[in-house]
Amino acid sequence: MTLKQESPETKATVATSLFAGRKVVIRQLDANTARMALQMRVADLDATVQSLENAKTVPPEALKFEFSI
Amino acid sequence: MADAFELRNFTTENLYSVLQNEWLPATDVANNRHAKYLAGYLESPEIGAKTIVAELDYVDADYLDDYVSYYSRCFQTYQRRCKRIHFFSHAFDVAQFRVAIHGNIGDAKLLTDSYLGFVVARPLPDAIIGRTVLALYPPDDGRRNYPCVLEYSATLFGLHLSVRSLAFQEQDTVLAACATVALWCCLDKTRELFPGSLSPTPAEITRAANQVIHHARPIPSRGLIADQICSAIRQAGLEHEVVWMNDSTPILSLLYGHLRMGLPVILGVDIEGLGGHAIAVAGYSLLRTRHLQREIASNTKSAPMIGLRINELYAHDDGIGPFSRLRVEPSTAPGRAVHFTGTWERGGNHLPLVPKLIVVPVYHKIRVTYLDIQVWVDRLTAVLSTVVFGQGDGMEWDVHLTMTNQIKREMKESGQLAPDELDSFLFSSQPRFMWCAILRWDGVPLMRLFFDATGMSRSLPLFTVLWHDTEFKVAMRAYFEMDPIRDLLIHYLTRPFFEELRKSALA
Repeated sequence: MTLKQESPETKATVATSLFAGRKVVIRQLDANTARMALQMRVADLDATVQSLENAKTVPPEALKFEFSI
Repeated sequence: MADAFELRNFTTENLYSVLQNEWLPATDVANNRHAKYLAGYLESPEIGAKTIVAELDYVDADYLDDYVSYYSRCFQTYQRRCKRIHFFSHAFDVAQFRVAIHGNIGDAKLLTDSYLGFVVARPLPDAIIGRTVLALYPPDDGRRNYPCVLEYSATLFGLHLSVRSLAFQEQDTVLAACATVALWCCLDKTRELFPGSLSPTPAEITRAANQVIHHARPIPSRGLIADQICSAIRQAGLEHEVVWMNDSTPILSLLYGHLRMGLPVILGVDIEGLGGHAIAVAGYSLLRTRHLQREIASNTKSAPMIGLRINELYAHDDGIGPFSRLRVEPSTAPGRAVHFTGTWERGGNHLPLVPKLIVVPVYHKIRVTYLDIQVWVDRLTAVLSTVVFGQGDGMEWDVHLTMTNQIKREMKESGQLAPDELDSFLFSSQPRFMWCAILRWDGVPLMRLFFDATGMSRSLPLFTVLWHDTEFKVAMRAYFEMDPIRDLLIHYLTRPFFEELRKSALA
């Protein structure tokens, strides 16, 4: 595992792990940066969850769909 | 008994010849779409049929039920006996065949080692392809997957033969329509997966389906509505899981999620200009890299799923044949990210098969659905992609239904757990059915979540968490312990999920 500063803007510490020769970049953001990043995407998450909840609904017309070929 | 069988070298002409009957000469068989498909399948280099042996007087239970239910009551006389046509990948002659039938196990190896399955030829003017059980294409280095198959036995003049496959038959449009046949194929496999469930004949399926009243005549059966499919599933002792496609349904990952356990899925599609069609999906082709960029049409930030690597489905399409290939293509249809193309054509152009709904016949204890799990996966993915992972598109989720016996065997063989973790996993009491969600980066597993499929979707059904990578676990633990983001993580994950993940990361 190697640690380095990702960029002055994000103040992120990056852990680069090697798994079977493949690289996974794991970021360890400081609390403030992480909070800002999470806050910015709350709306995206809410929209995704709502959209999946909608996908669970089976409308009445679905059960009348006819297979006749 | 020279007329008990007919033995021929495998050629397309010889196949058409043995499929013919008093109503349908070989020249007409040559124009039968199913016969042509079977000829192509059997002569392909992957299957490589060399010899045909036709049992000329065969009693087929499924056809016999159809015969009693319909054909015996026609004014025209139809035969009640069929032919069963067997295929072998070795070339042999009549003398060698007789030695194999009469001889010992060593003599029989010529036949048992090269058995490719059989086709029951029905003695009808049309719909001649009865129960068909054929060998599978080879896996092609793991790309082709046929999880929804089982062992079929055939006894040929006293010789035991077997092949792994999933039974298929052509619809006859009097007792069975496309949906009937799709159900018949699926229920043959679910009978093995879920002991106690039934594997009815096409006539029995049609009768069970028609307990739901529809304007169309029950018999002759021209088609079924989704409600009737559900009725037939209930009559077989199972529950129906219906998913109506919308712009947020990850169709390929959803199919994969059930198929991987060996659970076949009925896929309802709309074929432009033709109407609704039901097919039984039994397998998939999984590439090493992504075939699609998106499998949902909506602009929401969904988790990157394994379905993006699926480029083909293998389906029992009663309009085409067994294990027919459905290519996955990006769709321009409204609200759809993908459609399928196969051998449905008009004017030389492939017709798109636009997915409309999915019906899964499930055991009643499987209560938590794929989409329930997808919500939890999307919640965690939102955290991972926002604060944990850097650039790159190596993240992938593999969500699939599994059974405790199956997953314990897989974990033992995978070598992915330390000895003490494996010991704890193998000796733990687990739900019979679980959803397994594996997080991978570039194919390497980082963590594995198990959800209790017998639980309740409203409460968190998380059963256990396995961490496959220490550094990833340490990073996650640090985030879970950051007080300034705790409220946001709880919003992203919900409190129960946050607490469970935190507890497992601290362990």
